[in-house]
Amino acid sequence: MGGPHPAPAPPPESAEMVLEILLKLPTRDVIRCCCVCRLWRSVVANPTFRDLHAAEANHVSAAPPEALLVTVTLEPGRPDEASFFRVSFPSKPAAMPHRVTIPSGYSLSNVCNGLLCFALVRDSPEAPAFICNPITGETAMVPKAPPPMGFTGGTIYHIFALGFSPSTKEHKLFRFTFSPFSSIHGKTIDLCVCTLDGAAGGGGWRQCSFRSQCPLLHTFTPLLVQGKLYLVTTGKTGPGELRNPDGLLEVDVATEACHTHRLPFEADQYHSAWDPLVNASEMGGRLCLAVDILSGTETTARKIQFWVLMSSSPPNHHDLHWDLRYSFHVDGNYYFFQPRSVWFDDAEMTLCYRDYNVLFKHGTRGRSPEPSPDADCPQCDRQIKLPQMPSNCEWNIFGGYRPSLLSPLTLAPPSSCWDGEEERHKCEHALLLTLE
Amino acid sequence: MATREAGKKMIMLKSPDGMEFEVEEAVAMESQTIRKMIEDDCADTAILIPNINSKILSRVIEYCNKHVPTTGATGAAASDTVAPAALAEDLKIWDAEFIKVNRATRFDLIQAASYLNIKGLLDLTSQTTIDTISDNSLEEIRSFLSTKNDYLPEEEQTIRRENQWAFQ
Repeated sequence: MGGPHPAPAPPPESAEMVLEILLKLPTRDVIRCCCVCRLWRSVVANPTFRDLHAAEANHVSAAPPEALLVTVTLEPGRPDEASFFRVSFPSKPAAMPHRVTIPSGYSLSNVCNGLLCFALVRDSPEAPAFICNPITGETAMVPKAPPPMGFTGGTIYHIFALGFSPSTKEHKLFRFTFSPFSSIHGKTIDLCVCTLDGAAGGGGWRQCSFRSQCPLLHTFTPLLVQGKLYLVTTGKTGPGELRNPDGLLEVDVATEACHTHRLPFEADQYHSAWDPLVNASEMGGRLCLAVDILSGTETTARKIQFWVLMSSSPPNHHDLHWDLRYSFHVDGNYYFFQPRSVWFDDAEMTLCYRDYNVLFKHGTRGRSPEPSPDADCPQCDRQIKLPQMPSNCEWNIFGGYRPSLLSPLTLAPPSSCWDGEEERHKCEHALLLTLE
Repeated sequence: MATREAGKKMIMLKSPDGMEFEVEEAVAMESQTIRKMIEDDCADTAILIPNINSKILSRVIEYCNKHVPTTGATGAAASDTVAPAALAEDLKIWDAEFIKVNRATRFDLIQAASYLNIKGLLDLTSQTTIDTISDNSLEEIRSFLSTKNDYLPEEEQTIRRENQWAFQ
């Protein structure tokens, strides 16, 4: 093409062309492009574009998981409000643009790529789950699940978990209902599943139940790793009985098959009425369990272990292969009933464990993984004291967040049959249009 | 230019500025849009390609000619002698040369690839833009795209602030 080019004419930018380019970009870059000019912003704001972008699964599921700080503020006389902050290295912690009103008493139940699922855990026979996208600030209520079957009385807990299967490209919402005192009220776990999108979407709830040795651990945030949801069962039994081993419940989102496996650690020291002190995170595409091991009755010796699930679903479902990667001793008190969480910072290769008011950070770069029960380090790399938050503010950090533009309304379209709210909004909108 | 080979079906493509291009059906079918027209029997004599001028259309055809799989009855023998890896490498070099065009042409090509639904060409033409967006500041992106910032300063500030998380 010899010779100098004439100065290029301004490109004939069209919304279609911008759309083609934006569709190929990861979510974060799409958001940056909002600032280029009005045309680009209008393309990003278009719901059709957002759904198309989310459907290009690679942007979302191939991105490394990030950690999201979620705060919920409870102010008397005001609706509960949730705020979101990205806290993954190397970026500086930054607030997401939207504060979201959440139904009263709800807390985050799990993270599914770019969507957060909120629900009521306790004493809530049929409270529906609530899905939110922290980037767009959009929210949606999922239609109510049917009442659980097989419970005659007593307290029941619900755990909601939103799952996504990369193979079928479907989002499904699971509700597990169980009695925390299973030795008295039965060992049934009632499972309700609703396919939210894809070919089978909108078909309503399907209900089944299975028996479990022990109740589920309700303080555990269900974790989604590569199309499988993981929950933990406690080893709790009746008074005076021997404790059962704690178990891992693995649910394949596509097939809805549930399997229970043994957790790798021995928790014999635990009292038979204790809950296992387990949290989970994704680490390099695998499930990683953080286990707080307490031993001794007078003075407690604490140790935090990190177990990585090396193989999933072998032919013999009871023998999972686990690696004990890291383990360190921890001084200080253990506070019961306080929030804990674990996440793995992919960019910094750092294990992070939040233990109520302390943050433990342990670098894994350059360290050979030490798959042996003797992998003990004297202590972890860094221990950071966390500031005290006001008592009306609950917060925790959740891993496994992968920014996406998917609208919760795509999964749970507004419907008037369970709540007049959305209907009213639509009518108001129509009314305003006629008054324009 | 290639002469018409016996047994190969030819398709006539017309650009809105009146130019006509005769191409093999297999080459034209690199475009999913044209493929659909041919399969639906909407293309008996000539296909008018709206919105794509002859300069761009000729480049698109050049691309399709190069990328059409040589697995036909006559092509099989020829490609047997070259290893697939070498072929792929050769294509990559050819693509890199092909995309050395100015901005305006590249955007025209993106639009054409999008309209004609030619995935390979669309990926190739948008990749440079994507790389620019991933690595550069807003100002650099704007200058690369020759896009005017049409925000008022305070408006831009608000939008920047709202989306701060994506910049850090």
